[in-house]
Amino acid sequence: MLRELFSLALIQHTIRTATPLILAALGGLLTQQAGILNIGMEGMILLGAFFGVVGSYFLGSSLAGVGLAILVGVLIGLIFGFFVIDLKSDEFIIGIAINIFAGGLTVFLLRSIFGVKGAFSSPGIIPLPRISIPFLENISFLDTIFNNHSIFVYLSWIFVVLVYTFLYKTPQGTWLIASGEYPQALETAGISPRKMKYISSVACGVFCGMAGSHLSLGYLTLFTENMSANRGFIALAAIIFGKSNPIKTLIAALLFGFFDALGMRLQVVGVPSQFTQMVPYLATILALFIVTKRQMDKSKKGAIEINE
Amino acid sequence: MKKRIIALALVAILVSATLIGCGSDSGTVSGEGTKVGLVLAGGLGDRSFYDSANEGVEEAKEKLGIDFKVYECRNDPSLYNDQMVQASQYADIVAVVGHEFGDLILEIPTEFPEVHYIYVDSEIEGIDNVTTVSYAENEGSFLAGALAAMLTTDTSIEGMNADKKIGMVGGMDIPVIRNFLVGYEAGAKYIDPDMEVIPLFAEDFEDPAKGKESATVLYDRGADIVFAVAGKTGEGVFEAAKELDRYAIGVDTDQRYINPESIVASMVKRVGKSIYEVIEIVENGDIEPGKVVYYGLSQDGVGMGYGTDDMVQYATEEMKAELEDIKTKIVSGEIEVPAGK
Repeated sequence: MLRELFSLALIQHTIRTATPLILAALGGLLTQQAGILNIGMEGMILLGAFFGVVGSYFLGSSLAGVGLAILVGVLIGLIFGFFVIDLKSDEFIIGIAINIFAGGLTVFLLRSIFGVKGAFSSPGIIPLPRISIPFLENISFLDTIFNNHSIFVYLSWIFVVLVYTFLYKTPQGTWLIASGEYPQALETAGISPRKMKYISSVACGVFCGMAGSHLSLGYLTLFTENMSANRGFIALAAIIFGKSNPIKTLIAALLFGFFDALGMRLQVVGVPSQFTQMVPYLATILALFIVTKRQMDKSKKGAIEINE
Repeated sequence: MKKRIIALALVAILVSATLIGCGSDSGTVSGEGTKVGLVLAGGLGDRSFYDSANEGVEEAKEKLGIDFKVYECRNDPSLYNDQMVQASQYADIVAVVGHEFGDLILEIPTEFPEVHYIYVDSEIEGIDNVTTVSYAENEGSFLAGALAAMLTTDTSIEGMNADKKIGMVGGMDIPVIRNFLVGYEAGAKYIDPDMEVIPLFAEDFEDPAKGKESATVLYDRGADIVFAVAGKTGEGVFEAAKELDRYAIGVDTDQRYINPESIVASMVKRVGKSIYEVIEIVENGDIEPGKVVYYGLSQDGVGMGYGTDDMVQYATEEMKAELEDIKTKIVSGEIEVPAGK
């Protein structure tokens, strides 16, 4: 039974489920670092998913779909930034507004552009290509796990490294973090925190646009209303979990994906769905507990050291 | 000040765009016909359950000359109460669709005694102005299970293995879906007692990505046919079937048109037909107060849909004949189908 549960397909499943989370979370952690709590990711993903399908269907290329999704992401990132940074509106409310707006707009446009309600699928939607890494093909288990995924699966890993390098190895990254932690200091250094916050907001729109287009063109080849299905919020949880560090956030997203996949498999071997449904949440609470405990221990130790 | 104006203007644009998005659809108003309000827990466009309900009021408009409005709640629980009250204020007959309204159907009708309510998927009795409609999903699913069992060992069809396994993706572990499952299982076992039925509940009616993963898990375990009883989540099941060259069975409406290559048939639950017929009875004034109306195979409330003739037919004429035979046996009571609700 354990063999059935922990198969290679489980790892594949984990990777697939985690990818949209990773992409969205990379964007969200940038705004988080810049001191903006962005709960609008859910809506941004949904817009990305919709415009991905629009671009792919009308322009006949999945790349155009992704491009359009990113373009819309930039726009919505600018709108979000304008409200939160310049007008100093409550970021929570603007986030909710974006989610509601995205839900309404996609329903409206689905009806007026495609003339359908609820769901749109068509052979005219060109999916994103799948990729295999040639040298892995010879090793069978690596082949099953890592090959034949949609292109964004690999891109998301590269982006994790890029965002990590940007944040911690470049001056611009430090500025971005400073704009969230201590904007006055950044201002003293002659750099505008406003600009850094705007960059983070737009970057978040771009990443969510990619997450959405991956969902509708890579993971699936269709659009349905609300297909983001709370992934924006799970991504936010991954960010908080990973303390806005790209690598830790990646691990958190993979964990969520893993427990989701495990839950489904447990059900298939006969565990009642009411229990398997709890698995991801139980795991989250447990992990949060461990993380906080370790943190508390650390700070306690620090305090003792200072006392000595 | 200028900023404030810009902000206000932007908010106005955002809000108005949102409002355009939702709102209620009205059938074009003509004359003084009976008004019907259709309240949906989800939204139109699921190409399944809710759309079927909508067909019912469309038909009533055409044939009985009623006017109707659709009130969609888009799975937002905060709207259930409001939309139902709105519909009750507008209409003479309110059709309520979705198990989510289980509590409200006990309260709101007592406040609008002059309005007649039709509540599908329930067996509540004793409220004078409420007629509930109960479907024998188990009977229809019995046929779906039987068909799946016949097809899954037919290795002449590309992608079928000899394993005696079939699967089902359920939207949620609730009594209605359980009713599909027990019928499906019984039907499969009627054809071959060794048939193994693997159910998987996605716990979501609106997440096609999850539906795709669920189906993938079932196909991995050797099931070649998966019965998708999961609303929009089911769209993901069809995608998985297409991608992995396996097969699926649709639900509620005849869903074969979505992808005739991989959807072998559909278990049709004629929500629309039942709503239409109850509206007709209410219109004629023949309705018995506070009763349950049953729709099973014998009332043609459930059944199989094989798409149109131009589609590839996986179910052969012999299979269809056998299913017809099973159907008559169920109607006559010779086969007793277990119930899950």
